[in-house]
Amino acid sequence: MKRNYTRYLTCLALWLLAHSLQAQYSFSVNERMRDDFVTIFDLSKNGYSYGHAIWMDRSRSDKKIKAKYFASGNVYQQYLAWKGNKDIILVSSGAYSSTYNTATGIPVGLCVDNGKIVNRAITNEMDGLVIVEAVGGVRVSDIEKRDLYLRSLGKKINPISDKYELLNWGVSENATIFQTHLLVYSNQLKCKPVSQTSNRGMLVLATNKQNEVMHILFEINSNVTLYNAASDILASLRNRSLDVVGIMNLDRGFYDILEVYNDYGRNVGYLSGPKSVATATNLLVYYYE
Amino acid sequence: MKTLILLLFVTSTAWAQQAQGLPDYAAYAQNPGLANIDSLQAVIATQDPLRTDIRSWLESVLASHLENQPLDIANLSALNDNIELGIQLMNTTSVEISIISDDLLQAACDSIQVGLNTYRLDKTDDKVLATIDRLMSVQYMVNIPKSDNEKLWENLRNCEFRYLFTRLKTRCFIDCANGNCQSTCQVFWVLLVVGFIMLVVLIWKWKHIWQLLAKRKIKN
Repeated sequence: MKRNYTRYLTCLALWLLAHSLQAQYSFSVNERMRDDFVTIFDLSKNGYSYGHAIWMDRSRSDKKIKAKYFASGNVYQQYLAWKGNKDIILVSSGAYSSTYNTATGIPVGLCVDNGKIVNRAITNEMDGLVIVEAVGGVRVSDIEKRDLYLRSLGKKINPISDKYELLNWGVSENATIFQTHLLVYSNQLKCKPVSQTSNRGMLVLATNKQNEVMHILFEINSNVTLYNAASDILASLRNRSLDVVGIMNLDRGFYDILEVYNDYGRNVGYLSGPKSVATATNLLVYYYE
Repeated sequence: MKTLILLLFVTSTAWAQQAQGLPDYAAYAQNPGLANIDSLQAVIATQDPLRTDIRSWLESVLASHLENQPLDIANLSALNDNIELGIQLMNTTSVEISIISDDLLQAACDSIQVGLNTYRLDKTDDKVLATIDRLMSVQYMVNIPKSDNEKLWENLRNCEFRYLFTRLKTRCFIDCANGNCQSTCQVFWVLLVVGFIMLVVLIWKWKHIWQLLAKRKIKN
């Protein structure tokens, strides 16, 4: 009898250990939309709910899923004017803004807003350079690697020493360029295990073995550190045989904006940020065209 | 060893530039100097862009200029002079000069940013704000950091109680429990403990306090 107890306790201890060591999210389908190219997953870890992932298969959708970014100025008015009858998948707050002594936010770090230069100064505090192309694609580069490939120029440039060229390219291509914290680049974690916790929003660019691009927005509504969230996401996606091009942090501080719309244009209630889109200082928009 | 390599690099660069018929950068930085745009353009115009490395020569001139007139945040007037020089260079049609202007203005932004982050520059000082505004007018934005206390008061003023509650929960409960308590949260906990003690005393001695107040009222 005593031996049985020991066996059960050992099994229980091993089970608990295995679960406590699990550093990955489990995905379970909640909703499929836009011809099944957009899927909302419920995220859980060790039996606890952690939030959601909005998975957008851009390549498989024949690039019908597109991104648009509003970086500065009266963002909400610009968004309304641009939106028209477009089929919006989601809107989310994007990069960081500085609001000291200003009515509207000023983007922190280098910024070109749809072909218009807003901020020429690169900040050393963020190493992610995100390019939202006029055709709706998103690219990410690690500034520290200094090897941003610009296809239309047919060469790699160093975003720091060739900044003048980069800005001119952004203007001529009508692109949007901004800086943010790059948490993962080329399957490698870049952030340090800092201990501040919060809810998190992260944009992931990943490719599968067929080189199809996926854009995934993770909405973690548990209080976790950036490091833990990024490493769990990386492990989860690597486990699904995906190559993680980059994980970018989205501002979930004061401007915590998220709205997701279903096929009928109705707001998905369980995926709604506390702040209204009308208060946005910048906006990341995904739409289906 | 490093100094030797640097010396060799500078000597070889200078030698290469002089071989290409470019003026000595250190002497040029003194006279006529970077501010003389006509002279700069004349130097560029006389060079064959395929044979000479104008950009590295201009970078050397700028480096030499900054040795003589550094971007010193303790000397705002000198910093402003450099910013004005950068803006002046920015307004030329030459790409090479525009790149140098960007280098100068970016370096000015970096210096101010470091000054603000390390509290060596006072962000409420009108002169500092005027310098930042000048940079902003030519699309070089400096991020003026906000302290936790500033954020707290701003959100209290704007009645952002939901946001404050969320931040209170994460910063002052979860983070403090994890051993990462910020100064604002330490103040919060001290105030909470003092408030709690006062409340306990008030409840415990309420009869006594009530009587004291009543006596004072009668006297008055």
